Amino acid sequence: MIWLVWRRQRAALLLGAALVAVTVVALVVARLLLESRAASLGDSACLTDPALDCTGWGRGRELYDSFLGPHRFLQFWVWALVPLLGLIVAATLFARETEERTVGFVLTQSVSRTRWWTTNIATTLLPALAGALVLGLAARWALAPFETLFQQGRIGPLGFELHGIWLPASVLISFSLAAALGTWLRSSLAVVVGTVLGWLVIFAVLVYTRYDILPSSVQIVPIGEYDGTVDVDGLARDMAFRGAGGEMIPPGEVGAGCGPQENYTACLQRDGVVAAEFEYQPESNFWPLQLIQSGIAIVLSSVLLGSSYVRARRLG
Amino acid sequence: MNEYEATDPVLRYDAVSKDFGRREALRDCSFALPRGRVAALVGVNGAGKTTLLRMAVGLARPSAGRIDVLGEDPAATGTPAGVSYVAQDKPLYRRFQVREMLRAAAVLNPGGRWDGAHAASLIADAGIGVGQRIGELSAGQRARVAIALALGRRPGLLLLDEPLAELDPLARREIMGTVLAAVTETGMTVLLSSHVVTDIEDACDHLVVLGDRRVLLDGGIDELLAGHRIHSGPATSTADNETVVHRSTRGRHTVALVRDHTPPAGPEASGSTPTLEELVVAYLHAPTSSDAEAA
Repeated sequence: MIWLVWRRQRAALLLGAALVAVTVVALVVARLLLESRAASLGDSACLTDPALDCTGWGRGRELYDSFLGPHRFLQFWVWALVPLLGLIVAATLFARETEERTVGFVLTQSVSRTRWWTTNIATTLLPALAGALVLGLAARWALAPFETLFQQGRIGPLGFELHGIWLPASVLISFSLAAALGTWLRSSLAVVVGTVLGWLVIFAVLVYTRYDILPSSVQIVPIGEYDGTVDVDGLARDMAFRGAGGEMIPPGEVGAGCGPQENYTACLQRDGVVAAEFEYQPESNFWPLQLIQSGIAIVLSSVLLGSSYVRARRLG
Repeated sequence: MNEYEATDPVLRYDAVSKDFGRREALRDCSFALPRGRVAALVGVNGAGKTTLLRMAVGLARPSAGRIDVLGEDPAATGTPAGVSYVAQDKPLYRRFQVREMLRAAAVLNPGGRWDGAHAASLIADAGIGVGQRIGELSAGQRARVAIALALGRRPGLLLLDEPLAELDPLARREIMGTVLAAVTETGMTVLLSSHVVTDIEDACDHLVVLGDRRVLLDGGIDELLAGHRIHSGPATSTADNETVVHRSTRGRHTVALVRDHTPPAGPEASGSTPTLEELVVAYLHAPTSSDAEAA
């Protein structure tokens, strides 16, 4: 039975494997190029020391500018490829069986519907999960020096998706969506469109709600120590100025009269600002958020796979 | 526990109905198919023949009633092990080679019942190479492969849905030849559907006529033909309406199929045994319960 599923889904599984292999090679090459370029510029420390600011003007800036675009592209590609893997291996899994009516052949042989469904799911889901795992590990290793260079934490968008257990959860959602839609729709094209739209909606909802699930932290900086920027250990979400009475002063209402040569902090103090307040989602919330969001994904996928099974019991 | 006895009918429909939403496809269908018969399931297009067959292999479930196939209820157990089914469109994996279809059938039939050598020999006899792709085969060749795979399960009951549709006369003869050879060899029971009586009249010894969503007639063909008579005579002849299945009148002449042998009164009256086609057509043209309800 495994052979039959493999034979039917061979092209999809090989395509998925090829995409994973090419991406892993690209990630490895990108890291090697970054390290080589940093060594030639004498900026290797920018890739290993998170405390070193290599984003300012100078030699570090050249390294920063050269690799910012490739880094963003690789992050986006890995983020997009993982759910794509689930779609590729599952889009035709059941849909083509009903589309070409071969389900009528398979289900009148000596295998139960439960075994047919289970073998189909297992034979394609496990390689998709393995692909997501390989991509996740390769991305973690290859993009680590980029993250140090660009001082990117794990909790922000894209960083969150490429770390932890989100990648397997992501492939699980797209796979389950495609498998479920495949048992309900008789068109592979409709399954592809439905899966892409469904996955995007689910992802958008998860991202939109992610940073409100756990309470944010607040860092208050006395205005005398504020130089226009602040380092928070996490994802900055909002900032405000506070007056002497603790009242909130929106940033747009202060500093308008500051002269170009005037000390900005002194100008803010003149406008009555005594402190700058920064709200941020701390890095320490990374794993709790990973577990919560991946848990939601797993529950949702279980419901989708359950509906696929129920539908498969009645296919004919 | 399976209480199926060798003398029981291999297939029994007991007051089976099937609805698709609000549409009633079959109503209160009952008939039994004795072992060893080659039966024709005849009805017009859309009569419900495919639905009736699909329910026998668990691809559809009755809305009411019960189906017994070799002692099993396919709605609960799926396709019984001793049954093979070939759907009208002969669904096979078009991208597979024939040898891969044989392997697929083998892995889908674990447990020793699958006779791959037999299926392969039937395919070889049809002159089909195992390296050919299913999608490149002609309709007749695909039908031969589908039937070979069905016979490879060594079934006690073979269900064929319109097996001869869209085939040329030569392919029709070859398909029926393959099926009848298997019947001779194994004594299996066959139920094949068709809406063309001439396709099956030489091969079948049992008849089930489906019309108006119901089973209109079933039984051994010889008994059914012997139990009916074609009477023709003047339009004024007085055949017993209760025994008339169907009457057609042209001008002053009428032809009626009746259920008994009693000839109508009148000097010009005559009676003869109907052909199978006359019998089937008369039942399919007979006033239906729907007509009566409409009236």
